[in-house]
Amino acid sequence: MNNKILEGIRIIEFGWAVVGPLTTSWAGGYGAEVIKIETKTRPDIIRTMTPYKDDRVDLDNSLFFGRENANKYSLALNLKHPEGVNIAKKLVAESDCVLDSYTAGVMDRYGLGYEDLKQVKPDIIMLSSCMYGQTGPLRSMPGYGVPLTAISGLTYLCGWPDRPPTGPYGSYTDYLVPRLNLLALVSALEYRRRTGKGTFIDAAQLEASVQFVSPALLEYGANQRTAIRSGNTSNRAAPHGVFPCKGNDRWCALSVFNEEEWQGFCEALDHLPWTKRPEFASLSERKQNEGELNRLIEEWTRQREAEWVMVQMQSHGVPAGVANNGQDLGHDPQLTYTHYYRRLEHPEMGAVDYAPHSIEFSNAPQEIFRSPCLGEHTEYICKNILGLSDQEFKKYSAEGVFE
Amino acid sequence: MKEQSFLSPYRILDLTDEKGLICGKFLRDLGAKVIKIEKPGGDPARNIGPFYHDIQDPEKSLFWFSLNTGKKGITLDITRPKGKEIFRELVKGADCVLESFPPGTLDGLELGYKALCLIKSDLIMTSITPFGDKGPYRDYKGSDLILWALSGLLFICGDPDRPPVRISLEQSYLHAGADGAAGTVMALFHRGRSGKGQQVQVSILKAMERVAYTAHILWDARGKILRRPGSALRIPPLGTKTPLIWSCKDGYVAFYLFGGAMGAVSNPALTQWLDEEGLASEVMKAMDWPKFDIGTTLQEDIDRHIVGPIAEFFKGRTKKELWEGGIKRRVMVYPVNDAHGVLNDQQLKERNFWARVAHTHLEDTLDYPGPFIKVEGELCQVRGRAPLIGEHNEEIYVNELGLSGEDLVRLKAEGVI
Repeated sequence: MNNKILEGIRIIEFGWAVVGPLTTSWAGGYGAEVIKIETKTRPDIIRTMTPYKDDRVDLDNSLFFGRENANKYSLALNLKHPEGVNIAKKLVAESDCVLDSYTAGVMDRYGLGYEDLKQVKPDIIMLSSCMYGQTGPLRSMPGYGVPLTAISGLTYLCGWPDRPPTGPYGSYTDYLVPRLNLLALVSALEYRRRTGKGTFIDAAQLEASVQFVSPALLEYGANQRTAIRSGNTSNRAAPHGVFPCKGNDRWCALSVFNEEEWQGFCEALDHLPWTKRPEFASLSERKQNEGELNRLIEEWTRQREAEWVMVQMQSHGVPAGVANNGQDLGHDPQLTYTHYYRRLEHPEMGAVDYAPHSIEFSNAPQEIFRSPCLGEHTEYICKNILGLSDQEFKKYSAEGVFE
Repeated sequence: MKEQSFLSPYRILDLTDEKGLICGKFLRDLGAKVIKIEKPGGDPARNIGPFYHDIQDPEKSLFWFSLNTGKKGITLDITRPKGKEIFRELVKGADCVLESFPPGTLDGLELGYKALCLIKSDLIMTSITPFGDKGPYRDYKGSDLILWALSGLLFICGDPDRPPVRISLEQSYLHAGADGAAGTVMALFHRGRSGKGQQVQVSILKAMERVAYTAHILWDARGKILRRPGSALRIPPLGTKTPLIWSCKDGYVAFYLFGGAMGAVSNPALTQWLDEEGLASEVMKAMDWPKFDIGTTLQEDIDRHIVGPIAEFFKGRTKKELWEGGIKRRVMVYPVNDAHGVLNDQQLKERNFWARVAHTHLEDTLDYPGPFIKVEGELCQVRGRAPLIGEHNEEIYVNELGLSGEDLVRLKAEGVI
């Protein structure tokens, strides 16, 4: 008993896109039983998003959906049917947590708001994760990761000072918020374990995201200065950048924070004459002459393989790393050593790699199982958890409850 | 005793540097008592800017302030014999230790997990390291930029004609720190049910790989390399590009021209909005938006009939006009905020999000991001400013460990605290 961290915990997920589904997928990896509720008429939007395996557009063939939905079961349930809502409530009565990531108000309209669910399960833990939170004038404004990254201040800080912001790739905050959602969920479970009390968690994605720009917000408040994107530079390090290497679109990142690392860097370059130039002697001088420094480094890295540069630098104690692309990740020595990617057979997609989450426990291994097809476990859940008879299940199916 | 916070009963010793500071901060927000243990003279992360009024002083680092709210602060040199002894005493009364030293460091000091379990058998220890505690990169040096690079995230960020680029404010440690906090609470929960302690490991590399989207999956399952698209996304099969960041009159706005069901949320209303200004193209007006598929539409058609008119419309309006108009019409066009924009966000104000924290030694009060979730009462809150160097030495060493005032003076003279 209790070998897995969250063993015995059941979570019902009314998830949408990435934030909600990824939160529960991670919880599932640590042993929670996660049941995802969606319907064919209103499937989780991420099932309709690229990339698809072999470009075959199908709700069960989205690689994107698969990656973010491992470790869960799927129950197709039509919440527009009154019996669908009843079944959802019966399921909640048998569960510990409910997570929804719909726009604020949607769960209430289904009759599945916190107050409704408390009636059927007084100590239920409910986490509602929408863009702007459950209260306030903008509560029902729809959103997703790209604009959320923008309003959080993160987009503005990614890119080059002489160009418009590029922002990080896609919906960056979609991978930030689930970490804090998971933290909130397990904190509420721990609180319930001690006190017996459930909790409602209003998890505004914006309020989680701005935690990650906190120093810039304090800087504005204290000094009335607006932090702006600065490419790959750092005030605390020089060199600090991403340098082109031999080949097409190959890069190695380097960062030198202190004197010891600078000495290692010079050794790694076999003390090329320019490394001895007085304008590179100290961090402040290197910062002042950073353009020239970067140009000279680039001249050197261009002649060499990115992997070679990384190993050469690291062997001299200099932080360095290849800018791995999707192909490189599969061969990365560190990820390979720890068997990071897990190749699992999916009935529609065939064998594909899944990635676990980053937390490892000494006494409770993380396990991964593949993402579900839509409605794959409807019958099993209805019969084995809710105890519906064959007859009842057939009747509800015929009425369109499980569409 | 009445429990007012999620983690009220727990006591956590925080030995981390900038890689783990936010982990202890989140646990403190959740109500645990977090004691930050710094080297005598203060943690090196206090030298990271920006600084209050630009004064480079370890007591004025805004970076430090932001990641240590509500913690108690003591100084202790755990590399000295007397310091180790005191640390072991502290561990007896603690539930968790957080650390982010290079792998093996604490073992080398005889303060590793196994050694500490001999004095506190159900201890939880959370370690945040660049690459984990095993494998060929175990002893490699990391930095935020290096972890972006190796995780695969860096490669997909930025303009195609420039090197890949990161967010200019360190992020990887924050992702890993949040994971570290979740891992710590999971271990506490598990201990509550099983009585057993646990070692919790967070690899920053793995935390960041999750942010790298479908980069690996796309290669694994389709043999394609995902490349940085600039402020645009490329949609297969034709690889059609549409912008994410658009220029407006006074800056930038974020808007993504989704196809299909997602696009149907914004596109029809936006078309009508453009039409009112005489800017909507015939193609836009005639479009069956739920059926619109970007990936199978030719780039030149998208540019000419859809992106072009929208870009022109945005260019003529301010962030505020577009945002307010968008809210009214449920068009998902949002401002690209700088710090000023975030601090003035209407919804954050209405929800009383900002935490006003007094800094008596600065005779000032600063606005901090409030709690990361909204819950009843004091379950999760920002609990005051970061500690000064050694601010709680007396409270912890004298009142709690029972050392005398003389001991304290002697330990100070010896450089232990």
